[in-house]
Parts: sequence; structure tokens; C-alpha cells
Amino acid sequence: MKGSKDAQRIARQLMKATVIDGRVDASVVRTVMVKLATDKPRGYLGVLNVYSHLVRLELKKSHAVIESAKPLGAVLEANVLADLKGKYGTQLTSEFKSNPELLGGMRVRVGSDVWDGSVRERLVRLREKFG
Amino acid sequence: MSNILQELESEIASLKTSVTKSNVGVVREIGDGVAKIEGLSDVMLNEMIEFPGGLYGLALNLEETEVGVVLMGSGLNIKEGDEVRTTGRLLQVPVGREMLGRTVDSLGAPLDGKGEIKADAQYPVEKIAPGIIARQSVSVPVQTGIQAIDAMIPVGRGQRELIIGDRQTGKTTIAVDTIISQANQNRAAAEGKLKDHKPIYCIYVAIGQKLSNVARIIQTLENAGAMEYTTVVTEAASEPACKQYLAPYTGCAIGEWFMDQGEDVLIVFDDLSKHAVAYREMSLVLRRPSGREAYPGDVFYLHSRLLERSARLSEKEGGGSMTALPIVETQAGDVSAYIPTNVISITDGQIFLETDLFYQGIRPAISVGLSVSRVGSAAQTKAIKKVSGTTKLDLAQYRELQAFAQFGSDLDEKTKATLDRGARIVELFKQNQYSPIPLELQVSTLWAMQNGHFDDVAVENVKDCQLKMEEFLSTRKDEVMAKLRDAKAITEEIGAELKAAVEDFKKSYKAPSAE
Ligand SMILES: Nc1ncnc2c1ncn2[C@@H]1O[C@H](COP(=O)(O)OP(=O)(O)OP(=O)(O)O)[C@@H](O)[C@H]1O
Ligand SMILES: [Mg+2]
Repeated sequence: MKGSKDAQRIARQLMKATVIDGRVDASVVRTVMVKLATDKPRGYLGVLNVYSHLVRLELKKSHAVIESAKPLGAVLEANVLADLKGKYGTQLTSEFKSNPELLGGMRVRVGSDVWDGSVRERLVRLREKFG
Repeated sequence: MSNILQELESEIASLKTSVTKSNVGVVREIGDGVAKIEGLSDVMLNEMIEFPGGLYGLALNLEETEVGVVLMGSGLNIKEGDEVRTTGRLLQVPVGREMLGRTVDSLGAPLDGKGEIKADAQYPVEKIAPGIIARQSVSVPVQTGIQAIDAMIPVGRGQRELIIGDRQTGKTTIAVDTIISQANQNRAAAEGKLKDHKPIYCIYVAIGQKLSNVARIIQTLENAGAMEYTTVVTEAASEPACKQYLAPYTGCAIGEWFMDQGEDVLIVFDDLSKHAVAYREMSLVLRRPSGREAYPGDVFYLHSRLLERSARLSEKEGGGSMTALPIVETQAGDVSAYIPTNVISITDGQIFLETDLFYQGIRPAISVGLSVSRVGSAAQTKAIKKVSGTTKLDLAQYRELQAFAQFGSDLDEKTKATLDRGARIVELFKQNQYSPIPLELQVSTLWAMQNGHFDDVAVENVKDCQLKMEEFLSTRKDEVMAKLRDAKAITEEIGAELKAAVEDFKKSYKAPSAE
């Protein structure tokens, strides 16, 4: 995944062109892929590897994972999503998961930001405080 | 009891509603005590990163898509895919008066089995050094108790004086002697025997040394009664490079607390060569580009930001000070290597130790010609200044002439006098380890030398004569010694009494018969 210095530099430049208005532009990604695959410049596989890694990271930034102990139900899900879109922009993609380990409450992750309101988290913090 | 219940209840109440926000990342690569983390978009440089299982790491490499975190413990339980989080805290260590007498690691955790340390505060390990305005110039001496240093290379409070030399030349011993000397003076002052003396607390930072070595040093300090004024921070060679790297900054934080209380501290970094090696090791696994001698390019900054934190604060800032004695090891006396040149350029002088001298039995093996103190003479006590004025020059001339004298026997009177004087000064400056000499005895010896009282003593007997005179003066002439100690200057009256005392001694002195 690391790739050579050159591959990283080129991939990073391509990435700059790919992010338009703070979001990954799918048509640019497609163009880059086609161009690299047909021209096959030196080390193009390495560049593609790094590039796809960067795209994945960038996409993660505007992808929300919402976990809850029990399924939230359509109404609540819609509310949560609307809230998040208000904060992160309308291009935010999302997925809802149920995770019984949380015991109760909700945990939202967007990119590397995490809002944790789960019971598990509260117990952990409580243990730290008095442990 | 009810207190803790209340605390618990209010804590639960706040937890009921609170949502913790954190910034997380995922371990992508782990090994050699370093983790590469993806994510952590909000991380700060030097921030503590929390790993699963209560392990912490320090964020040192911030790159576009990943963060290099050095682990502060064994990362054996950490695996790829683990989630880590920022803590919002820079690395902090406990500081306070209870650190005295203790041995701790670079996180401030006790290593001496003497129980928990009640900290007065938490201080960040990395801190911006005091600015120009907050400082005042060096003007109060640190009495090292090492005669050659106090006379020729005086160190002032707030100064940074490098101790440099090849391996096994007595570098550590000079630092340890200086600490013992501080303890002796602190104790004398507490007992009312030393007037107007502001105590100096000491911090000894051992970096990458053998455990047995450190244990021996601590034992020496204990035996000399110096531990009660001293904190030892140690990260042995067997510890992770990251912890070795942190140790001097931790020591500095502990010292800064005292300085902020308006107190004076002395900190020893033993040694910065090993510190640079630990840093190089860390940089290597972080895959940072390297430069000269394979050290990363910012190794200069590594030591400058550390030593900049030594200062003498202005009265408005409380008037505290931190004196630093960094130690650097050279290879075959080469001071032009990367680390020595760097550290020389950021200190206020150096005490240079030479292997040759050491093996000739001239110990401490201080090279007079190559040692300097750029700011210390402003801090030298009047008494010492008066009697040591030309000593450094005398010795330097002696060393030069000595080389010539080997060739010819017919020397003129002046040359012969210089050689005679020089040979005696060399003897007087020889000093056993762990036996610092108090100011008044140093002054007396130098005064006697300047006034020719050692001229009629054979060179091989000079040391014997000096030791006996010290003994005589401190037991039989305590009154003059006390006056000298208090005045810290040779007034007319003291001068006359000193003369009488020394003449008194000389009358009774018999050199050991040569058999
Ligand atoms: N003034 C002295 N008189 C007699 N012996 C001394 C003196 N100074 C140092 N020594 C002895 O010389 C040896 C080396 O001293 P020390 O450990 O201080 O040197 P060092 O330069 O710190 O060594 P290293 O490079 O191993 O750290 C020790 O055994 C010590 O006891
Ligand atoms: Mg040493």
C-alpha cells in the first residue's frame, strides 16, 4: 500500500484533482482509472494502488456509520441522518448497524470523528474515573 | 465516605446525558514499538494516543494520510485493525516537592518501590522555553566543590555547561560530585552554618545507561546523603527508544516546577549522545529521512529546545533558575562530530575531559586549554576570583612549556618558575571522587599557592600537604574559615588571619619521608 515515493507523489496529485468542492468526483475517478489502464505509464499499478487507497480514505470522511444496541426504526433513522447531513453536508452517505455490545444508546462515526453516547462508553469512562 | 458517594452520584448524573466526542483511527501497521495509524484527523503533535488495553502512545509523525505513534510500553497485544483514539492531552508528568528523594521513569512513575508520589501538579513534558524578557543574566555561582572547575571554569545558576569527553574519563563523576556538593551546602544552610545560601535541588537524568550503573550512582548519592535533595529520572538501555527519548524532557518538567516556585535547580543529562541515538532509532522506524551520521535532520532542534529551557528567571517571574549540565561522549576526542558540535553551539561553555590526563593520574581529567565557561565568571565569588585570577593562564603556559622542557635542561629562571608553579597547581587540582571541597578551603589552598606557601614543598608532597592543611584549617582554625565562608571575600582582616593560620600549619607540617 505504501508504494514508491514517485507513485505516492503522482497519486496525491491525482487525488487533488479528484476532490471537487470537498467531495470525491466519481467521473474524475473513472477518467483516471481508464487513462492509467490504457496508457500504462511506468509504475502505473503502484500509482493505482495508492490512488485507490486515498480515494477510500476520502470517501470515509463523508460516510457515517451509526451503531445502536437495537435497530432504531425508520423514523429515528431519518431524524439522525437529517441531523448529520446538517452538520456534514448533504453528500454524506450512511449505514446503520445494530451492535448489542453497546448495551444501549448510540455511537456515530464520520471519518475519524466519533460521538459516543453508548452505555458501554459511559461505563468505560466511569471505570477510568474510579478505577 | 459521603464525599465519594456524592462524587459518584454527580458523575453518574453527568454521564447520563453526556456524549463523548473523540477522534479515532485504526492501526494499520505495528512493529518496533511504532504504530502507523490511519484516521486521527484531529491529532496534535506530541498528543497522547490511547490504545486498547490502556496502553498509550505519543503522536510524533503527522503525515497526510497516516500518523506515526510511538508506543510507551510493549505493543504485543496491539494488532492491525485495532481502534485508537486521541485524548486531547499532551504528555504530562507529575511534578512537585515529593519528587525529591525518588527515582522515576520518563512518565514520572516511581521505580524505587517507595510507594506512590503525591504530585503538586502535572506539567507538560514539552514546553516553550522562557522568553528573553522573563530571564535575567547569570550572577549567582553554583559551587561545584570541584576545585579546578570553581577556580577556572566557574558555573553560574541558570547556565548550561557541557561536560564532554571520551568514555570512562570521569564525566559522570563530575556531575555526581556537583550534586553531592549541592547537598552538602543545602544541609549546611539548613543547619545555619552557611549564610545566605539558596538551596539547589538536583535532578539526575540517566538515558540509555546500564541498570547496574544507575543503581551504583543512586547508591553513591544515598551514601553521601544527597538523595533527599535529588530526583533521579532513568530510562535504561533496555527500555523502548521512545521512553529514553522522553527522559530528559521529563526531568526538565520536574525541574521547571521548582523553578516556577522561585527555587534553584540543577539538572544533569547523562548523556545526550545516547539520547540522540535513541532518537535516531525512533526516526528510523518512523521512516523519517536521515542526514549526517544517519541522524534525522532535526536532531539539533532536539537538544536546543531541551537546553533552552534552562534559565535564570527575572525577579518578577519569581527568580528561580535551572542550571543544566548536559553530558556528551566523544569518540577519540573528536569534538567535530555531529552531536558534539551541535551541543557545544547551544551551551554556555564546556568542561573537556581528556583520556591522556586521566591515565596520567590527573583526575578530574580536565583539559584547561579546551574548557571554557562563557558566562560563569560573572557569577564567581569574589574570594575565589581574587585568588584564582591567573591560575588558568599559569596552567596553560605550564602545559605549553612542559613540551619544550623535555628537550633542554638549561632553562632560564622565569621558565623554571612557571614550570614549578604549574606542576604544583596540577597537584592541587587533583581531587578524589565524591569529595567536594567547600568554598573556604578552596580559597585557602589557592591563596596559599598564590602566596608561595607550596613553593618549598616537593611536587610529590604537594597533595599530602594540601590535604593536611585542609584538615588543619577545618578543625583547628574554624573561626577564620567561618569568617571566610560568610564574607565570601578576603578582607584585610581575614587575609591577615589566613596568613597566620597557613604559617602556623606550615611550621608543624612534615613531609612524608621518602623511603
Ligand atoms: N576524580 C577521580 N578520582 C579517582 N577516580 C575517578 C575520578 N573520577 C572518575 N574516576 C573513576 O573513573 C571511572 C570512570 O568514571 P565515570 O564513570 O565518571 O566516567 P564516564 O566518563 O562517565 O564513563 P562512561 O563513559 O562509562 O559514562 C570510574 O571508575 C570512576 O570511579
Ligand atoms: Mg558516565
